[in-house]
Amino acid sequence: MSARSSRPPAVAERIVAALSHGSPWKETTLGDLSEEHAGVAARRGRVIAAVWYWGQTIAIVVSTVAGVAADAWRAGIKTLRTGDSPMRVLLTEFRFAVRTLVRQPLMALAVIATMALGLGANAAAFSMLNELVFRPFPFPGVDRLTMLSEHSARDPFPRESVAPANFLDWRRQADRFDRMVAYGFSDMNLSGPFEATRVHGFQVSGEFFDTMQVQPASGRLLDAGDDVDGKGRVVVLGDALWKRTFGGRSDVIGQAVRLDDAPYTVVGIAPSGFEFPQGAEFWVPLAMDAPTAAVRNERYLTVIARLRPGASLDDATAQMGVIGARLRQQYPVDNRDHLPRVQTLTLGMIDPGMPQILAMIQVGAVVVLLIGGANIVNLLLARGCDRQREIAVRLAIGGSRWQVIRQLLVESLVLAAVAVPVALVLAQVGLDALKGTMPPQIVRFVPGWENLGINLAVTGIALTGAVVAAVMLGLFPALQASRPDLTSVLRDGGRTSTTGASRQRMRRLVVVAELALALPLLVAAALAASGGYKFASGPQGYDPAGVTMMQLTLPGTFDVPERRRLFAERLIEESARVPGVTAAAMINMAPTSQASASRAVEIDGRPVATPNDRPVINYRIVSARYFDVMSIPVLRGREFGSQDRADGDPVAVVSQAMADRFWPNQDAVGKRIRVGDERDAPWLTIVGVTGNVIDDWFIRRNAPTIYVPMTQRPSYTITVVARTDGDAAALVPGLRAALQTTDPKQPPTVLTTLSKSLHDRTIGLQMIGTTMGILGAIALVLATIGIYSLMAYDVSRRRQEIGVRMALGATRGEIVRNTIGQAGRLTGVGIVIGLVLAVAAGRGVESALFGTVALGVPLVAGITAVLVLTALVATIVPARLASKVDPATALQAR
Amino acid sequence: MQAMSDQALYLGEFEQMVLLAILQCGDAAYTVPLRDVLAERGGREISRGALYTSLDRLESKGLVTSKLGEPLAVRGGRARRYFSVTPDGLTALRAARAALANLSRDLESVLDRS
Repeated sequence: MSARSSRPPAVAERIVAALSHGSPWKETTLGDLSEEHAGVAARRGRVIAAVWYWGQTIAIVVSTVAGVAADAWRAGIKTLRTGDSPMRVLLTEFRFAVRTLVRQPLMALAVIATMALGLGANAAAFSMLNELVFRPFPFPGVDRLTMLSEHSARDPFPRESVAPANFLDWRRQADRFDRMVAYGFSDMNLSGPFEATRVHGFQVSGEFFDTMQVQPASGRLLDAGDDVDGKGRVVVLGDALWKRTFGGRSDVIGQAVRLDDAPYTVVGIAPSGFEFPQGAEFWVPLAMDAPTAAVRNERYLTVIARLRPGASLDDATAQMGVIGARLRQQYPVDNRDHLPRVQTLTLGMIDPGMPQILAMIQVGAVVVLLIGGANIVNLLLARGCDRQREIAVRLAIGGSRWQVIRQLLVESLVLAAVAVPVALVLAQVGLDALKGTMPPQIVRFVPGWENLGINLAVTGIALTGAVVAAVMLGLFPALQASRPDLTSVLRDGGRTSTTGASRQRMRRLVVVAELALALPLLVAAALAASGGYKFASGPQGYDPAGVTMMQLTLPGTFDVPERRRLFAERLIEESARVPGVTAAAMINMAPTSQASASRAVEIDGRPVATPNDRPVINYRIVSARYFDVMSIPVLRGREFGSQDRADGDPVAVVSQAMADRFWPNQDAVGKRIRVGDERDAPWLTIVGVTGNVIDDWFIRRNAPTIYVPMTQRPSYTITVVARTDGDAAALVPGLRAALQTTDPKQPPTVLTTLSKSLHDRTIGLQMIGTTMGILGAIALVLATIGIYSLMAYDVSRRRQEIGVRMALGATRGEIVRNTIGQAGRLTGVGIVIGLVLAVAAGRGVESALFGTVALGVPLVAGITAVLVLTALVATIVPARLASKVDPATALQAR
Repeated sequence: MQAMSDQALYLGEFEQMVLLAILQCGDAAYTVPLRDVLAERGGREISRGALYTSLDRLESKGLVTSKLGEPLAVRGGRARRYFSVTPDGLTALRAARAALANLSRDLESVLDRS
């Protein structure tokens, strides 16, 4: 059995590491356990080995806790003897607290479990915020790295890529930066004496690695001399690609490989773990020839710069503002709408919506903690009632109020101290589950994802949260309990209803607050969850079931359009022959693929003042039968067919949204549009109108789209879509073989079912929905427990009163109604407050999810009904208990 | 000085067992086989923590020394810590053994009875 397959359970290993933190034996402990675990795994299998490891972990936890307790005890004895007063007092309190809690194990367990759930949710949410938003990049001096982008006032997105000529001007003119580099996306086909594969890479400026302050693992990285146009082609391989394709051989340096069929020399290997940007597997120099260096109207570069020592982000922003204004004056057409923007790299790289979404989850987790806290306050208040007698005795024999408060506070701190490790384990398990669901092609774009988990920062937050919660939770009941009316409590044994009145009021208030918090969280959770469901399973405008997609991009050697057309036609033919395929077609960029293409178009009869005023429209190249294969309805006119030949009349099909936007209340069929920049581009006649398609839930829902026939505009990017009556996944090997037959040198970039692709593309939303759903479910359970425990406790305290009522002739029905009525009033107040908060929370979720979901009355009404029903159910049991009180027994108890 | 070395020479029973186990393991005396030897030959299942503490104490008394080996994949990239008994350690062991032998003398009839 290999060492890799018998790795110890990660969570257990973390626990051991955390417990032995600071000990000189930490490495030995972990090493011994790992070695022995491997032995057990080899002899008795992995499952037994994992169980063994967990057993060892538990033993270590127990002995550590016992050791700490023993130390504390000895220290306590010692300080008692030496009379070290504050320490002695605290230890006495601590011991007393432990004894008290052990006497009420169920109560202690309930508090610990509730606290652990709330703290665990917060720890997990904080881990996400911390790793994905606050510090996703582990680079040296990352706070000195900035991202420079262009932004346009007309664009809804806060940043845009940079035009090559603007980048070069910035770099020449700005002196607030040590280095400024650019990179551009450059996935290519890697071939050699192995199976050709599609690899993710980037073209980067020569000083890219110097800017990131990265050292090579072997060979050399790129330098300033490499990105000169016309220099030999060199490539730096990423550690993963090097190991995967070349088996980690060091003699690969100096060897030639082929990227998109052009020869490159491998000059070095990047260090393991360096995959910037976006999971890069290789880096080639960004060499710009003279025409490229002059391009100012196509924006496709990402620019990163390191601040000069002493220069601040504000300095850099100010200077870039001046440079941007100057360039706008110089190039009024291309730079009319665009100005530079400077952000920290961390802020610049994360998804625009990520901070809001994670903040929403964190707020949800805090609300869960608050609701849990409300339950705990309730429990402690109830206990305060029960312990009135004990407290009264302590006060009566001369204990100070402060001593009583301190004692109760120490008790809640002890509970919190036990809850923290449980919370951390829960958080780790949750995060592991989350990490398991994310497909690698998405994780690639989420920097920091790999680091999700429990670390020092998360532990610190959980501890802080626990202490704050313990003090706040303990203080309420402590203040209440330390103020009893001594004489009546001592006389009545704490049973009177009058002295408990204010405490009961407090407990009712807490339940109202709980409901008022639960409702908005449930609404937010339901909204997010319904969104996640809708994206993956709701109508998309096409039918993903039974469709398999295979995407590839032809290399630059296919520069003759006729070659691309022949290739595509041959590939569609071969694909259609695959057993099980009922129909096959192609599109350049299929729905759910992360790429899009758009073009400025000119509408016949609507001239515009400058080319910049032309509307920009989604642009798709499709073959005959595409709409048929995808089950996209043709609403008017026809779809493309064999009559649309390369030399035939130029034609187009438009989407419903396009037709509605430019020809409202008219028939778009027969109208003419022109695509592209050339003045002599041909007019295309619209021959059909098709249904709208959701290309991407975030940014391209029902976007106006124009389709042109592949025969007339063959594309480099080809996505074959093949429909089957059977299992779409079964087509995968056949389609791969069809591509091999067509051209063995072209690897597929994507080969999967459309349903899977849709699932992966919307996994982020589903993840948000699931996470919020889990938080909502916890909140609902906690709120239910809260109401139940309040009412049950209330009934138990009112046994005598109920007994008197029944003795005086009240019927069981009346008692039940009375009890439920009480709960109903509390629920009503809580719900009214909650509704106001729910609308606000719903609006927050709407904006965090880019308006992909909308808050509706049915949803709010439905959730409210669920909460009311739950509250009712939680009341019925105590109400029935109340009605079963035997008047005689209840009165005798007095 | 004399007092100190006298103190260093005093060995508890468990310490003697650990020192003997280190000698038994020879060049391979690191924590994992030490526990195995103590269990198999010494008949005592001891906890990891007890062994570590004892090794710490013996090292601080100068009776054993340790050095780190190479990092190993099977240990998750961590190194083994190898122990050896110092001349002082051997002296202490011999003294303890001699004391036991002296005390046991003439008690064969009692001690050998099963």
